[in-house]
Amino acid sequence: MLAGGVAVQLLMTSVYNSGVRNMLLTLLLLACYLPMVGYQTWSAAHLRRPRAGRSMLAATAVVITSGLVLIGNEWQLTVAHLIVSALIVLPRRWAIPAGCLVLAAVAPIDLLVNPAPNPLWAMLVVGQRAGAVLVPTWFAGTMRQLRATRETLAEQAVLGERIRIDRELTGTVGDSLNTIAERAAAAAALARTDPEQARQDLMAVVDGSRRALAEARRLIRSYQRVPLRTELDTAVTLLSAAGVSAQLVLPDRDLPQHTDPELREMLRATVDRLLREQPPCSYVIAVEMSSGSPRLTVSRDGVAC
Amino acid sequence: MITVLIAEDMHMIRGALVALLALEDDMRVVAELERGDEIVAAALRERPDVAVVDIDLPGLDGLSAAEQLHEQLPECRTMVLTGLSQPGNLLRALKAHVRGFIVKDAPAQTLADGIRRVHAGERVIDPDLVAAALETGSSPLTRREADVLRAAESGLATERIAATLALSPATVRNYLSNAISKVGANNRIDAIRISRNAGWL
Repeated sequence: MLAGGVAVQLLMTSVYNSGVRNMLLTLLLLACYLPMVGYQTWSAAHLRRPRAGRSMLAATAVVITSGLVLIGNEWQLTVAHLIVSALIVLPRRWAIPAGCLVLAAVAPIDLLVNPAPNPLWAMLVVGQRAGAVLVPTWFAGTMRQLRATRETLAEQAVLGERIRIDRELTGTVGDSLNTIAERAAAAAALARTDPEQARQDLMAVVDGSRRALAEARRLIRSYQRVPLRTELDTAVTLLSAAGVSAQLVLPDRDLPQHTDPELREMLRATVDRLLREQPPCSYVIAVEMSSGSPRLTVSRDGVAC
Repeated sequence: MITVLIAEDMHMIRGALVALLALEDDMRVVAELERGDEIVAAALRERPDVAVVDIDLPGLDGLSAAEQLHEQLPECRTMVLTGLSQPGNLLRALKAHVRGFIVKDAPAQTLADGIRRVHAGERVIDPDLVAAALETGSSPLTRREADVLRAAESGLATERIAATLALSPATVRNYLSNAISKVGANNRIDAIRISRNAGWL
């Protein structure tokens, strides 16, 4: 954008045919203030406050004003860069009034330096030039802010999920493991004095271990959010492999990715039962959408069961 | 009396299984093996009613042995012992006409009861295994994609895989890329790990 501004400035200078002097002065003055305005624009796009912003704003104002005096009409459109600098550097409550003031100043400047003045047109062009720099800058800054907010929300969601998992594990598997450790210690203490009681305690420990293992597996599985469609397809595949004829009937619209645990539990229980019983008949596993939620029905040869 | 063949490569576990079944009045262990490639020959010799087979065996894996056993001795019913880490094996087991599929850490009584029910013609499958298999999903890989992943697992370069499978290197790269995408992996090593854990290889 800034390179474009330089090119336009040079083009305008050559179009107006103001001579080599004006062209050299243009280059010199642009080299003085464009890096500062460029730095301020870059800072704004990266949501940072530019260092020494007010000093740079003052310096930019001096350079642009000098240009108006030395070069005249071809230079007045660079006032747009002064507006950009003011809107970026100044605090919000001062930035807009300052920007409007500078824009309004374009009218008398045009009357002073332009041999064929058109103040309104000059203000429009300067405003448009300033907007051409400010709008993409603010857009870039807003996108960065949105991205940062999204990352923060994602981190908070992950943290919340970790806390929830920790709470669940502590409340289930953690409690079971504590109980196992206590019972095993008690059994060890009884091993010499009361071997029979120790044996019974150990049997209880083994039982508790199996239950804790099963609970841990169920918990871990519950964290793997598999789409419903995957489970349904796999159910039909398993039943077919086991020699149970099964057909899947789905609704016209897309299934929700994830559903409540009850429906999945029903599907699992059905598959488990059919694999064990190996019925000779055909089954239809149908999913219907009811009030936005999927409903599972299993029918045998067209008869609901 | 139900005659049982046991195939388990870990001595201690095999010994424990034999000892547990010896306590059952209606069962007799007629053969105990540690290799998968010995199962069929032993079964043809001893004619057991039920073969209890570990899923991971040297020589020939348990499911492949179960398939061969069903072809050559269909009257011998097979029960496979597995861990819950490979739920994708349930599908392969069902296709191999395995009648029982239980986890290794089930109580001893569950094994004995399972053998009785399998002998009676029932199918015995651990509900946790069914749930795990449903959640894992059946393999998304085609046969060729699985072949290429298996070959890649042994560390072969793409050109060697291509030569081994009679494919062009470009085709092998396509299969690998598809497999990586289908299983949601980051690279081929990750794809092999995911597929191996799910029992898809």
